[in-house]
Amino acid sequence: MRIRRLEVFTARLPLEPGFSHFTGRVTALEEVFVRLTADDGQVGWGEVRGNMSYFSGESPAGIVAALRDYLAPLVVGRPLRERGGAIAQFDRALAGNAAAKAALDIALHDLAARAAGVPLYRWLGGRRAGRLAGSECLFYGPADEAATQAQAYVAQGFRILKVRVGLEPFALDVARVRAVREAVGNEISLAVDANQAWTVKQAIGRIHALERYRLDCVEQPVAARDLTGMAEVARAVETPLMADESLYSLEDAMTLVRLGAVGYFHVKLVKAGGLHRARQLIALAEAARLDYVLGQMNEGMLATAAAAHLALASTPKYTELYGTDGIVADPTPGHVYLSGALVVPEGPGLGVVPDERRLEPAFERTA
Amino acid sequence: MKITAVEVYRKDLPLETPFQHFASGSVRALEEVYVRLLTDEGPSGHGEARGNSHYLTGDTPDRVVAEILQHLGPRLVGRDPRDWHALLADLDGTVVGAHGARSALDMALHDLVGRLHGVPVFELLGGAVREALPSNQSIFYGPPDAAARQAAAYVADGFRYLKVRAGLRPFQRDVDRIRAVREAIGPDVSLAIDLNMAWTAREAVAHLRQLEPFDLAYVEQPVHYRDLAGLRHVTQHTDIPIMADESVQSLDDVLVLARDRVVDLLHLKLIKLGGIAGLWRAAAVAETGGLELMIGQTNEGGLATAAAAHCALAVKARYLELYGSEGLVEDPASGFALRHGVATITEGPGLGVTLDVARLKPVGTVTGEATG
Repeated sequence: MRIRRLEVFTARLPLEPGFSHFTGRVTALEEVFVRLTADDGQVGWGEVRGNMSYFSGESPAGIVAALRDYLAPLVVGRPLRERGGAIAQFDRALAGNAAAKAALDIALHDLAARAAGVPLYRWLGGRRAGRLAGSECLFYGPADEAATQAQAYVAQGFRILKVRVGLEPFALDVARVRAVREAVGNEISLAVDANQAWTVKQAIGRIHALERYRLDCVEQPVAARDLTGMAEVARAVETPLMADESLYSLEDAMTLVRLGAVGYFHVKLVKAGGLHRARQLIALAEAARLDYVLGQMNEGMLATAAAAHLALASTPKYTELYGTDGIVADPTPGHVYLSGALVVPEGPGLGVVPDERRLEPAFERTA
Repeated sequence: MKITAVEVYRKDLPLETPFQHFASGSVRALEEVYVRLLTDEGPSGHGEARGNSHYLTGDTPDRVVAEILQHLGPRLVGRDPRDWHALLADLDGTVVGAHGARSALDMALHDLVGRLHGVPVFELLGGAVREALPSNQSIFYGPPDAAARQAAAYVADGFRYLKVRAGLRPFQRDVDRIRAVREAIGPDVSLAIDLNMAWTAREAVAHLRQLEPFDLAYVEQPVHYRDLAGLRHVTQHTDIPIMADESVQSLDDVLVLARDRVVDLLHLKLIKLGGIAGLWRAAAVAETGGLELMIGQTNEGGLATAAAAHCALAVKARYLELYGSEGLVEDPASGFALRHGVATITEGPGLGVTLDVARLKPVGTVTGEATG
């Protein structure tokens, strides 16, 4: 079975109401899709978020170019059985560009599982049984709105919430975290995510100030590349840190372990470069006895489904897969959260396919 | 879909020529334990572990059998084999140090799942990262001229990777053998040495300086397996890559060896890491730490060797050591072959191995679920 064709599509998914990030407002997800077609007609799909310049420097046009110029030649015309070798070559062919690699890796996994006729979570050894907790996020906004939203999530069944912090003055953060904790009570797990907003000194002081609200975790307090800064903060505070923007490559992960910098990995396919690399990060987390969370960017249902399948075949502390929240019309139908817990589509591979008519063709390469 | 029974079998596989291991004395036969997982929908899965591995893992045949029948087997009966991630997690920690038993069951579970999905096991592990499986061969202890003849014969047969067992006293005997082998095989064949812990760290640094002219690809386990400080010292004081073998007994060991940069390479074996899933995880951790790998095995039958070969196809490794089922008088498993230095597997579903169960001795069956 050979991979005969690779097609890349883009799609703009408007968000209602959109969300604020510390760099600005995001009103639409600009997604990149990959479709692989084997010589027997089987297809495999992948999707990643494209407009992530504020997060990783990646863009839809850049992802399309990386796929067209570097990654597509490694898989088109190749037997599907050699996909491990192709994925191993990704990093030699092209540094960085984890999102483009993730889109193709997801499509390869979808194709392999579809060809075997089994759902991807089964292909990876997972199961549907049991309840895997999901989490929700409170984006920037006034304290009373955050409290109301938090109560709404708890009413829906969520037991794990994360508050975005990093506002100036810091009193705004304190007010929001306090309001949320008071609104949901002590039984709900609460974390904060600073998205690199603080210096090391600020992080230590501010985390100390927030610890009275019983935080289970502080995500990415300092700059992504400041791994020693993460370690310095970790030594100074009681609450475990979670690495998000600091954790892309396998080398990042081992460096964080060597430094004793974090208690949690935030594993995302789009950062790791796909399911294979994400599973390697998970192996390290397990070996080092760190907790890990399986998350994602805000992105469409197909990308979300890929992460959800992996979650059923691993043991994350919880998932953070609310990425389809607020998408007005997703070309891929379905959802993965139900009453605060994870569900995944049944059916071979990812169990979902996008409506091709809603996608904009970017290029194709045929063997 | 449920596992209905775990059958356990024994068989001794006599060796054409007994081998000497520094710690075990003469080994005349591989005392193998086989398992078969039966399901309510027909397909079954097979696994194998070397029983007389007392000098490697502490296992004995009776111990492996007892661990499967009493503790590990009951955890699998009644369960859906397709949930293998959770099943294998349940086996972890059930019995401390149950290397062979866990490896045999993990192997059988992968074989079964591959058959259920209709794919070879290497496909479950992510697909092939290489096209061929070139194995090394080992030159055991003996005089220099005999070592040179043996090495030349392996090269003539097609082997491109050789490993000489070293650690004789006085050290000049090693030097003479290594020089004789290097001269016999020329500069283009990869040559390594395996000390099986024979040296102290101080000896290793001095001896390896003397061995630099022989262009060694790596030096395996120069010092005692527990002496990680010594191992790290050797790694830091020689240009020759250092490989850990006996120091790798678990995923925890792999983490420490990679995290603390103790060595340059790891020798991963199914029986040390509790099976295929454990080996995959160990390889992942090694890669995060920038360590290279050898995927190998202890001497064992063709079923276990095929399982190692599936791992070798799917996991990025610099070196392979897949000659473990060579020299057996008989083997109830067929499907794996090593010819002219290259290993091959049958690409059928699962491990692609046919096991003649009629030639095995049944020693017990688990049909009841774990009670607590």
